[in-house]
Amino acid sequence: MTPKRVLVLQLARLGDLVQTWPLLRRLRAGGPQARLELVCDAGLAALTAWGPRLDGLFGLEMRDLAARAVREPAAVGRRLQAVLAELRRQGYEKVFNLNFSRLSLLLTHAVGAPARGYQPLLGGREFGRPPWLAYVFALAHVRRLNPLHLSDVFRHLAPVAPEDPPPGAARPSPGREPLLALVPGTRHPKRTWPPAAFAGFVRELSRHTPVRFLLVGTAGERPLGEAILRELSAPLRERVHNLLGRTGLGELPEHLLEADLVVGGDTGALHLAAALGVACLGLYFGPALAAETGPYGPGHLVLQAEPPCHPCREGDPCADPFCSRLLTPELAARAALALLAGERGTLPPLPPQVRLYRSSLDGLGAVYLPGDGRPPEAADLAAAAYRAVAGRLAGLNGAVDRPGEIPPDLKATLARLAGVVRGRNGDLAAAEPYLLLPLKAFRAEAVRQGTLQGRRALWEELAGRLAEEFALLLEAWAA
Amino acid sequence: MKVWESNLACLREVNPALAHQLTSVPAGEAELRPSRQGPPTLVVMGRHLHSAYDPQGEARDWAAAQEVAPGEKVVVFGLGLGYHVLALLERGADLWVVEPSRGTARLALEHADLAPLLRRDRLRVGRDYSDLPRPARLVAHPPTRKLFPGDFQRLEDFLAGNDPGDPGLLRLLVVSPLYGGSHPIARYCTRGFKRLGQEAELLDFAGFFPAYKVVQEVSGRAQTRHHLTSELLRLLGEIVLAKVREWRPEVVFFLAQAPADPSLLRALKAEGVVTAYWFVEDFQVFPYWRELAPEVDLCFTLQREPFLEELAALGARAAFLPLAADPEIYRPLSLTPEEEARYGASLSFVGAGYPNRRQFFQGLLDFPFKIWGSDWDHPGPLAPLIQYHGARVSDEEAVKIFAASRINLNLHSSPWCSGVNPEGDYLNPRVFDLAAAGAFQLVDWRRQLPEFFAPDEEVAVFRTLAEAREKIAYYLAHPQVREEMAARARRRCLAEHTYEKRLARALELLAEHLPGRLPRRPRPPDPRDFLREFLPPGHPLRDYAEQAAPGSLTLADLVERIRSGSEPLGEPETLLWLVHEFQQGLDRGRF
Repeated sequence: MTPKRVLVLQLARLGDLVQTWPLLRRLRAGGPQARLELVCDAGLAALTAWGPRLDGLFGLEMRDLAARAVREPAAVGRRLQAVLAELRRQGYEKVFNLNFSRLSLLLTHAVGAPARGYQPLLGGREFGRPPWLAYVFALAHVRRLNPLHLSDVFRHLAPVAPEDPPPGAARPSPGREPLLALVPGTRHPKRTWPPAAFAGFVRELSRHTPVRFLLVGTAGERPLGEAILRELSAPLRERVHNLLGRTGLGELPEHLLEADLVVGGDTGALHLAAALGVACLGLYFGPALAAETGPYGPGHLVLQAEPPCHPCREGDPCADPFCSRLLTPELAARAALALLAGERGTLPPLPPQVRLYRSSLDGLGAVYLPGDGRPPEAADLAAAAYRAVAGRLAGLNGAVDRPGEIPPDLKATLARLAGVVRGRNGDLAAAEPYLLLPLKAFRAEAVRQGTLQGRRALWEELAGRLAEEFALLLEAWAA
Repeated sequence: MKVWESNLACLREVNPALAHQLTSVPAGEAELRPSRQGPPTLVVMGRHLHSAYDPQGEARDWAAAQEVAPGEKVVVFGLGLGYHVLALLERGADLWVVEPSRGTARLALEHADLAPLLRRDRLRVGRDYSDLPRPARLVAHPPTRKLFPGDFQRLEDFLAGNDPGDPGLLRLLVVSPLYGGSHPIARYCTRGFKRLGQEAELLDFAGFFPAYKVVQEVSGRAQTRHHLTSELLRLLGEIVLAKVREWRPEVVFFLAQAPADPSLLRALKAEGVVTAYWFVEDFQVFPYWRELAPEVDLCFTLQREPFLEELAALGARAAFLPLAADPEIYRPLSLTPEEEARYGASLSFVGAGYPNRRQFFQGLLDFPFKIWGSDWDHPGPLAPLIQYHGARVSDEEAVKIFAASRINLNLHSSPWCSGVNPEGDYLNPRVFDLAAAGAFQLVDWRRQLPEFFAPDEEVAVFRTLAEAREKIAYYLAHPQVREEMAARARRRCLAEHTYEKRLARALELLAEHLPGRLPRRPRPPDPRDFLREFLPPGHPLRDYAEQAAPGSLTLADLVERIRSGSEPLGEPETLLWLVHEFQQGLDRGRF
């Protein structure tokens, strides 16, 4: 049951805001009469009209405050004082703090209502995590094994409710020339498919079928658009409408809704398209990981480059970001064609180190299933087990499907791993250097949170229980 | 020197303080040259202050061109040798003269009859012109204005009634050497810049000294050692670059022997920072400046000619910047009886065992003498005097030694000559440290000394061993005189020779030599104003902040205090911390 007055704090970017909509949907479903209010970046306020219904919205002008804070600290202080006074006046019964940031922790503390998500501890100084977030944090130590989508991480902070499922990828309208929206920019060069590749994609796709294109993004991304257009022949250029920087955030959803397919990297506009029910083809490489932040909802496709170094971190230097080149324009064009045709079968053959995922939903939320028919690896099975345990933690037993056919040698691996967890076959960390690392990380975080929250015994018992459940699952699958 | 005597007599009647100042100033580093027509001209830093042909004719032309009405109040910037001033006086101007350089003023008084000017107390020297009439018309003696653009600007602002205002703040990265005498100076500089209200951080490479020693000891081959040392220095250069790229200072301020090589300096130039290098050594003893100086934006030197000339010949920009003392470290101390006993002596010396000192001190063995410092191996007859077996003495201990000793001997080092170096020009840090500490000092004569301290009035001076012995005996017998001299030296040092004052000059020099290269950042508001608005009086954080020296407290300091507290954060603390977070920018931190 959603409390009567709820505040959600989501101060991050466009993609994070859109990926918060499933939580808002759940809160709405759990309390149709409740007052549901949101604090977000003022620059994104216009978008909230496209998401679940809100009873109140506080736009905080993050960029402006940051720009003025050094020279006008008192003025910024006064503004924040006014915001806090306004928030306290609402009398919230619960605050959902979704951002792992000092700023939002302090705001949460100042509002004073019981918090979900990141909780202020030690008088507002320390980050407290509930078991759910602590588990997610532990899984994030080995992103390769992370089976939880960001939207579901947020969503399961709220009590279970009968919310509507997210829209899936809409089927293309037959009989008319498809319109593709291309989103060439992302927040980081490591996530950005090169303009030449986008141009190649336009060329390649246009060879197969007449298509029109829209380039969408911010004014700052105009050079990317120009670089794409420069690579195209004059006739092809005619088919590309460059909207980069020409539309405000308020008009972006309309343009996305016009398209039959949105193609882009792991970026806010792609998430928005998925949230609006437009079919998406994600191009993921570098730090981007479909399982964490793929387009949310069933029926989307993600082409993901998976060399051994994937996923990396944005901050890590990289001498040769070759992974974006693994996703060739031809591959992307074939995947786009498959989506436009609405079929599931004719997916292109994939080179090694590239996988094509189809998004789907299970009881827990979004899953990304490799469509290549390749047999699972140990890491895939471990991820599945972690997901199943997550399901239990979220109070959803049996929400996660058992993996399909498991080859015998992998069964042996699973049995051995279970043995390690139970302390039989040696040290937890020594075996399979990273497959069991999340369990170790959870135990460490459990000690930390238990100490911070004054409930050490409870947390340690929880860590033991989760490890036990993990082992049980592995043993069941190994049988 | 009849002209000089009569000028001085005139001046003494109306402005004894200025007269005294000018008597104790040595002639500036300027060259007097006869002109074609006879009367002399002056060459300062390579510039002619007056025509080399006909200075008087030039002066008359200039005065006519000013079109000064009789009785008009005029301030002339630049005295030179006075020709133009006298020419203007002949035209009936009611004038004052501001001469930025004491040395030049002295030369003028030695060679030109300036009675008409001096009689009415119309000469001002340096920055001492607060009594000038405002507004007044300002005319410049062009060569002086070229030599001292900053001083001219300041005078112009003053006369126009403008407050200089706050030029804003600079961010400076101070880079220390791995070890050595200039290492503490790097710390003092960082503190000095901060006291000037600038943002300064020290990149302290002392932690790498053990690594450097390992490198020196690991191989017997010079070539290998050289290669490894270069690798180490390359790493240190990368560290400097990394810091510069993240912290984005306007200035990188190197101290002597800091790890800087030409390629690092070029890389820094490419990053757009201004590089300064304070060469606090004797240029003849340490020749590495030849390689570095041309790549540095501004070199600061302790020595004037011929070093400045040599630097100019290399195409390097250089300016004279003598040392100073940090009064926070070097201050009078009262000691416990135990400390008095340990550190005290009639005669003390703190410093390294250079050859000239080893030789000279042998002439002082009959005095109760304690020698402190490093590099005194094989001391020979000095052995009984060496304290701590020649271990290096920390600054803190040095201050105690100064306080406990009746006479502090300061003999400048020289690797070549014995005893006192007759050519010695620059002043070592000890001259200032001792003065700031209020410790009585007996120092060897240096050419620059009178510019900074009055010989035998503020510091006692010797030129020979015989003179040293005589003075040691005298001053040991006259404690009252010692105390008075030390007190005068300390007053002088605190007024004129602190790092704060010196570095303020360094910043002016940077602005003068590199006009437009140092954009200033606006100064962040004093966090205490913020606290006064948001915290009730009596709030512990507010009380804490009010006690801090102005400009020393940042919001980050206050947040640190809040963070380490245990009381739940109230609204004021939360607001403060929130503002601080916004100040960090939105790129940090994960959402």
